[in-house]
Amino acid sequence: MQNVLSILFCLSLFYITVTSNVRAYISVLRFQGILLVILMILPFIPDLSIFALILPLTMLIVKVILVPQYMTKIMNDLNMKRDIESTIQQFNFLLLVCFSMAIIFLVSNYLSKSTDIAVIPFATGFSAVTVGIYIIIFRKKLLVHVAGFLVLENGIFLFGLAVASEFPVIIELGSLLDIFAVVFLMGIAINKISSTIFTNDRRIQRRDP
Amino acid sequence: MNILFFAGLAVQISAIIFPAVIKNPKKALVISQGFLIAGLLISIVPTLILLFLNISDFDTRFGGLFHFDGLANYFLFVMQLVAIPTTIYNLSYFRHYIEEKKPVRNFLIFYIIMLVSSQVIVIANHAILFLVSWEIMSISGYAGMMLEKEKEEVQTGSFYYLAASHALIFIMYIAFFLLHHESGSWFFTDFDLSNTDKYIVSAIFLLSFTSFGIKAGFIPFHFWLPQAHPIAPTPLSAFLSGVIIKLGIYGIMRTILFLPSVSEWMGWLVLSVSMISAIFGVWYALAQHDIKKLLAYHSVENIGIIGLGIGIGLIGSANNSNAIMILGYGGALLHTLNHAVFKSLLFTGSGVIYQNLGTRNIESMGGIIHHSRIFSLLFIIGSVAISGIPPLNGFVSEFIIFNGFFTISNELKNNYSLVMLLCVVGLAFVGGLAVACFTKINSIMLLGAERTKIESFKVSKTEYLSLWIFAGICIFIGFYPQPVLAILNNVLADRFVPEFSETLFSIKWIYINLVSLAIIAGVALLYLLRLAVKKRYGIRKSPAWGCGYSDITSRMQYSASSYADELNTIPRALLVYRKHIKQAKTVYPEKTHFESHSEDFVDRNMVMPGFRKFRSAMLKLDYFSKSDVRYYVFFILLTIAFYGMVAYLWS
Amino acid sequence: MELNELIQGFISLLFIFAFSPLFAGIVNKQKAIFVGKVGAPVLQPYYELIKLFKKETINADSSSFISVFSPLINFATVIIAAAVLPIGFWKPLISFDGDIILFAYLLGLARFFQILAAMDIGSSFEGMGASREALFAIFAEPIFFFTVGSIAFVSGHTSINDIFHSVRLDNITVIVFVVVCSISSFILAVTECSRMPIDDPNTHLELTMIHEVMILDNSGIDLFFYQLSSYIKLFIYSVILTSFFYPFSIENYWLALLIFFVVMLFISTALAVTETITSRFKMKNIPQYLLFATAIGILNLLIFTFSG
Repeated sequence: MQNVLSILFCLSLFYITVTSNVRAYISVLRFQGILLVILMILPFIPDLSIFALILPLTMLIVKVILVPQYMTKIMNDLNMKRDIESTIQQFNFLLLVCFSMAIIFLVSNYLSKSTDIAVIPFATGFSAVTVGIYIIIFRKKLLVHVAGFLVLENGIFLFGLAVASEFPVIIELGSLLDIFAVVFLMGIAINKISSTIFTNDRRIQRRDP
Repeated sequence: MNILFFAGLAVQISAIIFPAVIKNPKKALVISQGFLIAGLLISIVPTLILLFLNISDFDTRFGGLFHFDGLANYFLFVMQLVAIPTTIYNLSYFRHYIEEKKPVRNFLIFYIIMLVSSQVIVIANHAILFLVSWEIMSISGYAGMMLEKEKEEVQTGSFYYLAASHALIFIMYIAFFLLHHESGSWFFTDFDLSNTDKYIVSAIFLLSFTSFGIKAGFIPFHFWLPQAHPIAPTPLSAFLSGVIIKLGIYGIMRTILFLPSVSEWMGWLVLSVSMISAIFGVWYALAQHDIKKLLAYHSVENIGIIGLGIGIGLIGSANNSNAIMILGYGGALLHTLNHAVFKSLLFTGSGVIYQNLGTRNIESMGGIIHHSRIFSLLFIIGSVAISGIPPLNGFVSEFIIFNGFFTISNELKNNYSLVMLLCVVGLAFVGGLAVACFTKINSIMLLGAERTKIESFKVSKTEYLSLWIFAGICIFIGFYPQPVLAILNNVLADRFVPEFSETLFSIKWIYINLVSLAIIAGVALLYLLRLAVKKRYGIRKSPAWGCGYSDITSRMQYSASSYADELNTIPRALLVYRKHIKQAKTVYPEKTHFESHSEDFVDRNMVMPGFRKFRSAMLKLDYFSKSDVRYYVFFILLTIAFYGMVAYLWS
Repeated sequence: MELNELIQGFISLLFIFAFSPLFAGIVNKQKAIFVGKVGAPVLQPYYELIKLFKKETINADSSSFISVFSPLINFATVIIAAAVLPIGFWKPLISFDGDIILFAYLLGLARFFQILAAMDIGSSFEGMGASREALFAIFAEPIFFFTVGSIAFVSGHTSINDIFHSVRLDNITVIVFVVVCSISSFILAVTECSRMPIDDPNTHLELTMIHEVMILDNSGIDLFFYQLSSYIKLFIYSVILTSFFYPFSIENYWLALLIFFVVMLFISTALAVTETITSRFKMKNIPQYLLFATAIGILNLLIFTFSG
């Protein structure tokens, strides 16, 4: 079952690579949040206790409800244009992601022979980290950067799930990162910067929303 | 048997006398080519007999200099088969040059020398004989290319050829010296590397692969091919592309026979280099406008496909699997023959077009099919063959190579399956690009309306004869490959495969025969149906739909650049694909202009800058040059003393 | 080959030949129902084909013998390619090791001559369609090999008949693998048969079409052959999709046939719904879309191989 959910996660990563609509990023984040929540609950299905449900519930509220809603609100407030601004051709981006995913899967297969890990969630988490980094590198809009950051953090979470079967500290740290991202977003909203910041002055002066 | 071959060779050599002696070029042309064809026909008979009867003859005449084993016989067969129609084509191609008072007789001498020396290369058993005839072949090729030496592009192209040839000969010398050092003799039959160090064996393989790879045209050593092939006269281009490049493949196969055992990394190296050559060869071809340059890049692609077969064979040899070896080497050798035939067909076809239209630029052609239908049909047969499409011969060899990939995956499981799947996808990708490229050429050159008015388009009888011979071979091998496969079985059983099994025939070729027949029968039946319907319901011609435009000219058709534009934009950094557009600025019609071109990435970014740096480094040595010759004598004396000391200390 | 198998092969060929226009008619009818129209009758494609047969054939001024022979070659090769596929559990006429390559390259032959016939007319409309067709076909080939071919590599067979017979939907991994393979194959079918979101079979504007514009200047019996070939191609790709899910081990003859019909119907509904819901992609996004389908195929293969 873990494998099937990881496959769905991978498909959502592909979708985020090919789409050119900013709202799609938010819905994919929501979808990934739901998948991660199900993955968290899965080991505890035989004996459900309240304590086991606390962390999934917080995760559900933060990842699936709060953060996407906040991002949508920012988008609407700033009248952001729908297109993500990409710096390389979409075709080459997809080629790059394919290539990296293939290498990651091969490497994880090789690693699984010596250490005891679940190959597919491991590889999926790792590839989510790489896809998140690529999104940050190859896109210009700041909101898209934040979305990429959240994908990265989802990947770290999945990675942690694959390596250990219980909740190590690393996963709880991952939840903290979520909150950090929210703070980052608040920063954008307060300064009302909707496009890139690290460019020369003329871009900022132009201020196209 | 060999006496017959040598007799034929003697007749071919005797054909040299005529251009040298007879002053009248036309008579010299006819008589010398006639003698050449006679000599070739005499020599092809023993070759075929040796191939079919699987006799490997070690000739003790001339002190064991010649060896007619399976591989040699096969390459002789390929060469002679291609040379006969090309020589027939010579008869009509050079009439035009004779009228322009070009030095055709010199060209004929060099052509005959090149033909004879390439045959000697293949049957040579002695390394020095091999190297000497290789040099003769290279230099006569260079001399033959200089038929129109007053043109600048001819000078550049032929110089590329000469430089690349000599670079590779240098590396080949090192490889042969190593072989001599290890085995103590110059004879190929004595090259026994069973006791040598693994590193030296690897070094010999790498050196041979590099040098023969430059000759064959693997990327990144292919940069001389697109410069040299377009500028040579057409029969020489056809011969270069069909035969001379295959001498590189012959060298690689011969080296494989010298090696005692094959390591698997060799197979992977050959496989990856070939895959890159195949994919990028055909992608570069898509971006060209010059028909001969395009065909030259296609040669690179097909050499890549042959290399894929060799790579499969090497992997099979490293894993001791007969089935894989037979499929790999068999596919490579069959594709050698196929490529020689259909590439020569296409080159001779492009020669006919060049003679009639005076240009090699496909963007200014069009509508040839209305002037000469049979010629267009022959050109289309060549294009269908080269794209690897059933029912012609390109499909047969690619089918064997695909089966090689599948067999590797079935026999050596685990991770091989994934890589073989990628190779299969790569080869299918190459096939798709080849289809795109050849539909582009055919549709722009042959079909539609004439972009530049064609006054006359004449194809003489000898040209038709040579084109029909090539097309006939393509069709024969495509529809009924069994005899050629029997020859291949014999060649492989001779030296390559230890315990032989009939894997080439384990593919059920009867189905391919039936499918090819079914296609032809189906088309014939449907044509009869169409005739009946035409009679009943009527047929007529009318202008094509113009969407309301009344003044459509022939220049408004699709051009080759537009056809291939999207495909060229995808790897535009690697193809160095640039477009120069001057757009209309106002709403009224004004003069605009569009130009697109692509250069060779290796040539532009690696070879030329490399040579420039080398040259500037060498110029710094100018410091040592003095005007007095006595300084140089002093340096020569010093160098001789140095060598003498080293030789004394070494021994 | 025994007489029994020969008869089965011929019956399956006749089946394809007879029922492919019906399949296209069903898809069109479902499209109409989905948007609230009554739509053309289900047998409409047959009526159109008969009408085309009886019309006068008109060729363009600058066309040559290519325009005469291309529809014939198209039709003949598509029929022979259809002879390689298993319909239900009937054994196909042509079945030998390596026929997956023959199948792919036969369709390549059809495409070669169709592109030539399009450029033969000498107008830039057809040139546009031909150039796009060449481009998309190049990127669609890998999808075929990453879906059907990956099953070939995993199972070790290379004949299409054996490949589909070896798919056993036992455990969840195989089921997920086959489902994702069929999604990729669906995208391939949509591309090759020129349906939305790649190409619009309804409009005849040059900017939206790939396939429709290549046959723009043909009529009469030429158009009859082209239309019939495109119906047969649609049927072929649907058969490939069905064969992924088809339980080849069922003994009951009539139950197997029923399952075949039900799955084909389901595929026709999927086609109709996809065509109605999606709009056509921008032309320069289509190679990326095809790469997306290939990437899903690769991912699928990696997951299947590494999960054991």
